[in-house]
Amino acid sequence: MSEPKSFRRTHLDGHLLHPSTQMMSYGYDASMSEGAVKPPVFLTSTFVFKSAEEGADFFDVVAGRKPAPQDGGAGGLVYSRFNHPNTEIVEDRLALFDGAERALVTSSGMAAIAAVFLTHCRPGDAIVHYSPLYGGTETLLGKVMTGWGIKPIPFVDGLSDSMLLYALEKAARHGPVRIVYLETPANPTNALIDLKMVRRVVDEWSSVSGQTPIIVCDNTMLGPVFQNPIRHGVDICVYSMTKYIGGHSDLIAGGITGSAALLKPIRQSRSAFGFQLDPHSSWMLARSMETLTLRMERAAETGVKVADWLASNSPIPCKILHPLHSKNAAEREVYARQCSGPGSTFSMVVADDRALAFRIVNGLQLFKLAVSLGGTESLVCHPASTTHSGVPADARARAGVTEGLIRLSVGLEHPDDLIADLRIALDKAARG
Amino acid sequence: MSAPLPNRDRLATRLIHAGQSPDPLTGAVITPVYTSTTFVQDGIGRNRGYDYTRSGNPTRLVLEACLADLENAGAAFAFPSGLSAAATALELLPAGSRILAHTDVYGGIHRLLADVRTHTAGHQVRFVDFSDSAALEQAAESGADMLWFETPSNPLLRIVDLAAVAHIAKRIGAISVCDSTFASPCGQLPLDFGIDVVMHSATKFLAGHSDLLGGVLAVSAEAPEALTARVRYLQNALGAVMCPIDCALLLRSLKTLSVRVDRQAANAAILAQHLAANAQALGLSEVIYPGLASHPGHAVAARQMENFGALISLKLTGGLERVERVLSSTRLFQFAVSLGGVESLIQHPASLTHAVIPQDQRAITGIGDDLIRLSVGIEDAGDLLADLLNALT
Ligand SMILES: Cc1ncc(COP(=O)(O)O)c(C=O)c1O
Ligand SMILES: Cc1ncc(COP(=O)(O)O)c(C=O)c1O
Repeated sequence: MSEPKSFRRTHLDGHLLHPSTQMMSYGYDASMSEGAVKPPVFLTSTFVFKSAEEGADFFDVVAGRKPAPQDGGAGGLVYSRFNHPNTEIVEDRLALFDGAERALVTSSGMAAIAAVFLTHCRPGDAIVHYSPLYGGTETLLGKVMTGWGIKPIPFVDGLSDSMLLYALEKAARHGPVRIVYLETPANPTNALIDLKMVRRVVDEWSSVSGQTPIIVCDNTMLGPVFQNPIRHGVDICVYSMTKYIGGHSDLIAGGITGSAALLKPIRQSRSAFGFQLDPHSSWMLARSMETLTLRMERAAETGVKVADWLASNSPIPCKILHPLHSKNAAEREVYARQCSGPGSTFSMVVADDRALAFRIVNGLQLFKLAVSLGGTESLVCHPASTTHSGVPADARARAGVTEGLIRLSVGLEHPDDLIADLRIALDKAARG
Repeated sequence: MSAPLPNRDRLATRLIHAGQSPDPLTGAVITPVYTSTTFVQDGIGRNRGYDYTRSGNPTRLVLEACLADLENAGAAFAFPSGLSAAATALELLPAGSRILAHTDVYGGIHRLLADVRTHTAGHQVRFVDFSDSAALEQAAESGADMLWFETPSNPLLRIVDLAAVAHIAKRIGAISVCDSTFASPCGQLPLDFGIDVVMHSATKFLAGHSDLLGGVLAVSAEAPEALTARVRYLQNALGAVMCPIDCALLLRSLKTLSVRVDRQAANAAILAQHLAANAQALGLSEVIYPGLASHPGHAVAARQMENFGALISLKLTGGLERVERVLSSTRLFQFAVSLGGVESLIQHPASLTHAVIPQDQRAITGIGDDLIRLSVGIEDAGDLLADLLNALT
């Protein structure tokens, strides 16, 4: 053999391998599992040590008393709340895809977000966050973290450095600003945040204020295929892996990517809180990630066709909130610089009339009426009455989450069928 | 059942929705996994459609409805492996039947026909090259009860004219069975050409992740009603049923079948063209891919297939020593049997998948020591090409 078989190989001789290729093999060594091409499911809660010395050594690593080995691994296997082979395979692949040093997998997207907040914030601190965020994150910040004495301060324009700066200064009056929290494109408005701008404003403000908040971005909507925020200056990405990465609407999981230094304390809290993902879901996630690029690319292509059709043919007048339909030149510039594809979750906005919106969603047959997104099947939801119903009405209005906003998550069906479904439902709704 | 789909022709949509509707009780978008082996009866002769999982299982029924829809079949049945599906199909025949089979078939199918059922059922099995219409016509003259073939065939990728076989089968009153494993429903729909039964090793493209074994029989709606009923009866009577957990995993796999197969076939076409164009420099005496104009079955394949599949076979110069070096020096193509998965594989039919076929027979068919079979996955085509070129040069 010309080169030792390495399960964390990045190149073939001089040739750099694409992440889409690596999703089939990276992080898994078949020779350690009877040659099995596919990783076994390790349904085990605990792992046998070869000796007491080894046990002591492994514990030093998982407890953070000793550094993890240099090769990217997380140290010896101890107990499935701390580390687990099926989870580590997913972590290796997610980190690779996101261009991050490390990744952590958690039991849900909210567990990932909570683990970041609870690790990096203390009572009295402040978090500056973009709004609108996913409804669950708004609730976590506005209703739960406040109970821990952590103050959330929103900003609503992701392209304006002055509004971000204003929010930072306002937050600093409450206490140390630990986190600047972003989500781009925003759910469900698809508004973009200029990540490079955020990095610059935070750095400039840091040099004046002496505070160094970490920048965290929810990358659920486009990542890791179409957007890698870490390459644009973000410190940590969080994911609901329930969505595109899981991709089949059949598991709940979350992920965190970033530097080894920032993720090390989060790993400690994941172990302490018990936010880890179970072995079976981890195995399913690895299976999902094999088709991730294909799924996201096909869904995005189909999404563009559906959005284009709605923009020019909808029998009910509507506005399309899709990255390629943005009329804002600054936003288009950010999209071109920051994203390599539009994803497949976007919204159509009809008149601010709940009854009309309900008539439309009730008339759809292929698009299933359910929350969540990013699966192989297309879904439709009405955020104002569901995912974002917990967000105060004024905040909803400010963010543009009106009663007429309908969010579509486009899956892998044939575009002509999805368009036919929309045409039939819209025609029916137009007739009343 | 949900309302009829707007366009029944679109495979991509049917892969995701056919046979599936949100769970009526809970609204679950994804079909529940019913692992229960037995079902409470409402009274004597009264139940909700199920009594015992071998005879019928809600998860398996959803999968079977989806598979039937995809193959444009009257009904489909899920088995725990491709071979168990084949073995069950052979039970359609009474003892002492005459089977005419394609010379180029998977080694395990060859073994089942020539070394098992000849002894246990006293069948007379004759092998003939189905890709040679004249030879097939002539062999059929003396009659047969079943015609069994693969197209594209394993491992030589010969193309059999589906309509021609269907025609002969009808004329002589034989049941035609096409093992469509190498094509998948995204590649061809044999029942549309008049074939009676489609068989799959679902282990391959249908599952697509090399993580489950399965088999399928799909019976044409045009076939005599008794044939469908008999397959249903045999599935239960012989007991070869796919387990509910695998049924659910296979349903999950089907949702990505078209994106996977589209990419796999596109990748295979790129690789085959490059290898064929540089055959001499790369030490290849033959590049076999139905998508190449030089392939003898190209015209028939273009007529009856949606794409040319993801399998490529190569004949290497340089003897067994070079063959082994190539097999063990690719790094993305893993040296392992099986095919159709998202990951690329490379294997050596003469010593592995077709080793059970007697050497003289292998020699006649053309399965020599110099033959290598590639199953092309969904990785980046440039990465795969780099890997092959590294190994071949
Ligand atoms: C953008 C975004 N972030 C986070 C979450 C929360 O993830 P989970 O439901 O996996 O906890 C969601 C879920 O809907 C989401 O859409
Ligand atoms: C063409 C063909 N038919 C049938 C089979 C047997 O299927 P299984 O291995 O699922 O029993 C195979 C397996 O390699 C095959 O390639």
